[in-house]
Amino acid sequence: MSAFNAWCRTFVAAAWIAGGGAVAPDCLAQTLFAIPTDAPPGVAVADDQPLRIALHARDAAALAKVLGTDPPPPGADVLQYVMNGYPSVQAAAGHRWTDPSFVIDYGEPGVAKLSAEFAADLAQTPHSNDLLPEPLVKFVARTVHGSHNRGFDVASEVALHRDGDCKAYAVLTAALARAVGIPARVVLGLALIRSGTRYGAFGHAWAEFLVNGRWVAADAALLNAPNPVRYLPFGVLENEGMGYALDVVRLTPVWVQRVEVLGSPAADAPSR
Amino acid sequence: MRSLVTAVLLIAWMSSAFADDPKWLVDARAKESRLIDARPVSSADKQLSFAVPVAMVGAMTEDKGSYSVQFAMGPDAVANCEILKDDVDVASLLRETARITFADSIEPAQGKVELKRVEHIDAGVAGPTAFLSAAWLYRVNDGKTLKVGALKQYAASRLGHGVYCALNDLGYAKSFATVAGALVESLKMKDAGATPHFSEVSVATVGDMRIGYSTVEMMRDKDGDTKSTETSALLMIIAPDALQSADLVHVEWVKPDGTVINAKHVMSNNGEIEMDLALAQGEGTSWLVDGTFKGKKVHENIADGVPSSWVSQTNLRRTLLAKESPIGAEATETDWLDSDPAHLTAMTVKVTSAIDANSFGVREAAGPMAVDMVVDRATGQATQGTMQVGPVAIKFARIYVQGTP
Repeated sequence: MSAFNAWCRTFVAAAWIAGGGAVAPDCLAQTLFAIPTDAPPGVAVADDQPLRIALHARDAAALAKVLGTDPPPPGADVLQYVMNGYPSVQAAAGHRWTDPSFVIDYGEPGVAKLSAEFAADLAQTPHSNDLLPEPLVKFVARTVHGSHNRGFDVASEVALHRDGDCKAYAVLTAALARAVGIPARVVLGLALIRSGTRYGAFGHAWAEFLVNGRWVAADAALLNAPNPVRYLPFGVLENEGMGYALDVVRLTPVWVQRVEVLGSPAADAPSR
Repeated sequence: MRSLVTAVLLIAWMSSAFADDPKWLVDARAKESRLIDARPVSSADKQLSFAVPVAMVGAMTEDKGSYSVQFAMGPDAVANCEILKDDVDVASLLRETARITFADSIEPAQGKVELKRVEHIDAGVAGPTAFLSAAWLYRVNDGKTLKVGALKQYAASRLGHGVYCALNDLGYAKSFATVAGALVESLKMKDAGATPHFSEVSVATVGDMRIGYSTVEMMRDKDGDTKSTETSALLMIIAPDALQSADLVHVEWVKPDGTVINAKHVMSNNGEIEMDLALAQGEGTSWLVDGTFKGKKVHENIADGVPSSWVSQTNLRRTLLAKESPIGAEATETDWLDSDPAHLTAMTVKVTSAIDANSFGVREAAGPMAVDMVVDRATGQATQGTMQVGPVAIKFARIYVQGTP
């Protein structure tokens, strides 16, 4: 043990917070780990249209790889990117996104109880299994109270306290999804939120469901956000064991340090 | 809080830079106490004493859990301090007492707290003792008028006792810090244990704000083994009106060569213990991790490995820096990190640069997590460091050291 460990702890705690802070989605106030965002006046683009942004990251090439886009020139720390739909990020092979884990512990009594509540809720409303994700996300949005009171809780803690920031929503959403057989995982990234002509980027966490062979965002935290949200995942929480905090840190080289909103994409810009 | 202004002015003030502050506010914030020569104070039962450069209001009182004392900071400004009979998690204490003060003291007395924000956090030392402090600004509405106020908090752990001071006034910021610091630095406790043979204090800084501290204290037993206790307290502003606290105690017993005998992590977040784990030797070269983590019982076997200690890590750095050409020298070790307690995490240590004749740049890395440190060549001890977390650089600096490990 050394001073490194204390510093590492600070680092991990900060990374947890950097991994999610957008409890008040309509608020563009800058908090400690909000991501600085430059958006010139008049740059706003309709939310269903592609949006060109520049992402400043310590390892922009690695970020390009995560997002599956062309890398920036060697040595550059800025990645030009077009947000157009929800990007799919790759995780290492070998994961079973339906199993319980230390973080997504849907076998624990607290989560199982919530899962039963969800099933009872669902019984009241006609549904098809294909449409299961939507009521599940709504259920989590109703169940969890947004707050800054918690750290990075595992699903059973979220089920017990029923409050927390976006990480709490994400792990509980993933747990309840796995409990009903939907492959689910937690991703960390940024949420780009537009308020009128202004944009703000925040470190964020949300769940993803595997639906028809494609990972889709399932974000209970921002389900009722009054402002439009665009998502940019940096990576998947792959280590769901007791070392999950270190896995958050694993993503820090691609963590975006600054966002420039540039407007509509030029015709020749790479698009995803 | 005597000054009253209109809502419009207040809203503008709460969201603007202090350069725009009205004169009444500037004046209120500029008030300071007339400090005097430090006066000794003792509890009636002679269990504790201290000296502070300000007059007391009334006598020290004692209840089941603490000694309480009030200080006259100004004509109508009183600072309250408590010396607790037990030790305390300093960061959690600040977070929780702020919540209680706003809910149970400020709101009933002054009106609904409509707006509050953390103005700043600070950390440092009062003599050999680390402290953490927080300052809040708030606006209350009693249904007739709006008022602006400020809450200043200061907390430390000294000689196994928690110390907490608070002042609810816009002014006296420097005086309050001086008085609280004097209390902590001069505090003597009758039940104080032996003095550690080595201690150090480091502070963590984000931007221009010190957000926490880490201390190391070492005590040697009659067999020559060392008990090393590392304590960390960290506050982070996670929203303009919200703090998150993290407190951690790590204890390790090591042999004279730095070999770990056993160790323990106890960590609390927002005052709730989330990790209480012990590391002990198992059969052969294995290690056992036992306890609770995130509300679950943990019993893990680490099949093989050698956990490093504070002492062995400084020894390793000193060995690397003792080479004739140390730059580029590299070694590996394994550490029992609270961020992955079921494993021993492999770490690389590499000398990266020469800073001056006595200190070198050293990078310690565990995967993508790395800290760039300035290390003293003679002792192998880190004196500064930087870690990058996404958009945020966290800087560390040792601000107090005494003795030899």
